[in-house]
Amino acid sequence: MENIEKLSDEKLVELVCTKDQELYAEIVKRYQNKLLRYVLYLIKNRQKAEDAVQNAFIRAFINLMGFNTKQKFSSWIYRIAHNEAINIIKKNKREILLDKDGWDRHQLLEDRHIHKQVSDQETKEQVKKYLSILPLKYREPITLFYLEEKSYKEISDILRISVGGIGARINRAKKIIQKNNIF
Amino acid sequence: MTKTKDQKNKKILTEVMKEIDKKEIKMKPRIFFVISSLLLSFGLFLSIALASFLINLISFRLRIHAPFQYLRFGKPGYLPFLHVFPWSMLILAIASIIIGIVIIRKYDISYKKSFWGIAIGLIVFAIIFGLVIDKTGINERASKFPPMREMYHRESVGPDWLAGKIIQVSERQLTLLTPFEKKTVIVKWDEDTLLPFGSEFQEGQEIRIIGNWQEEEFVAKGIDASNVKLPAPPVPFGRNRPIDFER
Repeated sequence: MENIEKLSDEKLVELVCTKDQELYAEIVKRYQNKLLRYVLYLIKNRQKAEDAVQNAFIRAFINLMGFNTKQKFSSWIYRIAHNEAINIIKKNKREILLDKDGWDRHQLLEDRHIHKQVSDQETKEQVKKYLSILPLKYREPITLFYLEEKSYKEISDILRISVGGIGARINRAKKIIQKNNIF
Repeated sequence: MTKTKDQKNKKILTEVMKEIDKKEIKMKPRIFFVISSLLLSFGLFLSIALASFLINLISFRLRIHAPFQYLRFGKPGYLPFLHVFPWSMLILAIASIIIGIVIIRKYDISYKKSFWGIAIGLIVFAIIFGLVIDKTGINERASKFPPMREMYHRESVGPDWLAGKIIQVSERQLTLLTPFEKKTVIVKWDEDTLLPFGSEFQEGQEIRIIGNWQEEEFVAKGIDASNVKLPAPPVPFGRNRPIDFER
């Protein structure tokens, strides 16, 4: 079990399903920060984001046997977290909209050091800074692309939109940001 | 990462694992997903099959009852058209296709390929398959049996329309035999009756009429005698050959 950290997500899922459910803790450890960060970009409310991530892990555990280990686990878990976030946004539309201006920017600044190694740090910071001006449909792909460093293919699997559609949304998002003289 | 954030994230891990340890949440068994997947595939098959079958019925009824021919009379033909057109089947066929599209959205292919391409493909497939079924002549055979009659809606007498074969021609009066009800109807017409294809009626000719009932007689507002081909009458249940309704 000492090599558990070296195992791929997909192999780990197999072990959780067939041998030891306690190993699910390793999956939670691997993804809780990433998912929380992503959900925070969408929800902008720490408490609600935590609830969404917790629900996502619970939902993922319940449906773990349905996960096809030939696919990428990270896309699958992001998809579940994404759905949870969208459900919360729909449920609390009014409340979340009211939070828009006062959302946890401090949280984003706190996360900065995680992205030190990215090649275009400036772009990343700009995206973060002006994320709130983007409608949700553009915020989702641009967050996944610039801030979560997912490929178009992975974003396509998470959002269930074609790769072409992802490209179009990211371009549109960039144009909106450019219009605001950001880039 | 700050200490606060560490603690908060630890909370997620603790909460999730606590629920797992307490057995408050359980994994759904693999069989659940296998059955779900099979049901989904079956649902997709069923919706496409139903849509094709309904399109086949619509094609049959458009061919046999020819609702668009009532539009030749202009405004007076609108109501008979609305009566005869198979609206319920059209609505059901559209609903089946929508259900099929909703099911397709559950599959990865819906976003990996062009979704609208798939949706249009599904619609085109259902239409072509439905038309091919109709071409096989299965409807003609099935519609002759009384239990299927309701589905095929083989009526030739309506509140404001009538179709049948002329068995007698008199001065501004026709005696008509309806194919399904085998009912003899006296049809009267006058100088105001719309006769887009003339008034040279002959015995044995098949016609469509719009108008109103006045007791047992039908007063024609319009008579269409061009290329009208009425369907064969139904076979009584348990018999193989069609009845000659002229007997």
